Amino acid sequence: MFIKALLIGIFYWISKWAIGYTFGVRWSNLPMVMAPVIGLIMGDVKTAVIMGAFIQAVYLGLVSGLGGVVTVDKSLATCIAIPIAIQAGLAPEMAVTLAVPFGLLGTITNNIYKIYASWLTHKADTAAEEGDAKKIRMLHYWGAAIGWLPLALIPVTIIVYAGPDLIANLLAAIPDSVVNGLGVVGGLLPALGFAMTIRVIGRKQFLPFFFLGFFVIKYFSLSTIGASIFGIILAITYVQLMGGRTDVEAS
Amino acid sequence: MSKQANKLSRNDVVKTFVRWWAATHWNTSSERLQALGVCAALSPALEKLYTDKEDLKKALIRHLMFFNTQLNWGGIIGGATLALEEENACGEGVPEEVIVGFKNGLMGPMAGIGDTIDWLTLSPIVTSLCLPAAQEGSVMACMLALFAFSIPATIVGYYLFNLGYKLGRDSVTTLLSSGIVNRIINGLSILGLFMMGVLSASLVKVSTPLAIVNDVATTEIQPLLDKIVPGLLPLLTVLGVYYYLEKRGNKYMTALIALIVIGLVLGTLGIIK
Repeated sequence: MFIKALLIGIFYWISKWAIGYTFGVRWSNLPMVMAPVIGLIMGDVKTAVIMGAFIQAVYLGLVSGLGGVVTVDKSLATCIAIPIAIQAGLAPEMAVTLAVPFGLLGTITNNIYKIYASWLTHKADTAAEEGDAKKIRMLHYWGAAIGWLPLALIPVTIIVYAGPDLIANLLAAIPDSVVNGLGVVGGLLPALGFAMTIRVIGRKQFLPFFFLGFFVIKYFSLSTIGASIFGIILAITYVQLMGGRTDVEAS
Repeated sequence: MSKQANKLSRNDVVKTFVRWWAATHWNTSSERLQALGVCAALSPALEKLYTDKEDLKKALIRHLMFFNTQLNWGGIIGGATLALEEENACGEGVPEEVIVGFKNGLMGPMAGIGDTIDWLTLSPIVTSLCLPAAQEGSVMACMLALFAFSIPATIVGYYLFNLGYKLGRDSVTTLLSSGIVNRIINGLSILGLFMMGVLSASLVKVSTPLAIVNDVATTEIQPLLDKIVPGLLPLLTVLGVYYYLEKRGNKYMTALIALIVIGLVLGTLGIIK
């Protein structure tokens, strides 16, 4: 089990490193992409993927890291909740409930890292005054790898190693009705993900399309893929008719 | 542009792009954000351009100043900066204020465009298209969620970086005036909102087990609600959270805690399930 915990720790460490803006930043913010790897380590890919999808729904519209402001560490939430939930045999909804507090805790480590990065930048100032470009690169590339060791690899390894027993004991100690309540929370939280996404898309004049999507599913029971085909057709048609205009009134 | 000894080769431009893409966001500091990353990405090219140590020092220092943008669409700034530095080094003498001012002036607009298209629209849409299959345990869907976003986005970034280098200062104006950006955003917004409706309908799970009991019969409430509007409770939940965020600004934490408390209390009491 310690080896597994260590591998999870290493995986989280690599995710914080986020190599490649369009790749690393993407997957380290996507619980559903991290889930298969975690499942592979824990020996249960399918359960991990299902849990990853549940956690994903909560964080869907939450774009973390814009302007350098990390609001929630989705990667930390995923790397801790899925291994512990698999070990303790929890339902996917419970994995969501477990993920949320760790996601919030991650803001602390991320903020500590940003202070460390400021220190690196000051070291780079000195190097720049000496015209030492190589040292600036060393500070940047190795600084990231080393900085995340104590902030990512070590704490995650320990929590994943010690966590399952703690969680199992905790759940055994609380009444069944409250455990049910925790499950209900898991079913409600995706609403936050979708509401956030509607907010960030931010074009209120297009809100009818939200209701269209909702009731297409509720009345016609289409599959999600099927519904998305209609969505794509709608979007293309609109752009062809209206171009880049944003004010509906002007039509 | 006069051609002198230390011009950048095609290879240098590609290498700078790779550094820019791979690592610029690594050490986002609380003080100067991406400054260190930008300097590290440009530094090998600067070393090649400025053989004079004093010039190199000045160049390194000016790229350690505050910088923050969306790096994929902002790649056009990286490319153009490279072109400006080359012009400066090869005798055209671009004033330092122009280079710094160019970066400072455009990092905001490019962040706005890039974040809107990549992270706020395209990214959640690709994710939401793959999400339902992943909920049934499909690893393929998980991989698709990564590659269907990352591959096209990287191609756009590479193209824009090169465009920036080729056109120099004019590049960003060209992109901004073409109007294509608004078309992309409009189309993606519609698809995005439509998908949010689809996903809210299939993934938000809340119903009530309550029933009205009188002498004659037991009437369950949920079937009644379904007759009025199917999925009324999930819809109200999403709209409620949306309305709250809209009224109070993006108070994500408060909304999160409120949802947990409401769900826990009502769920424990058996009012919703």
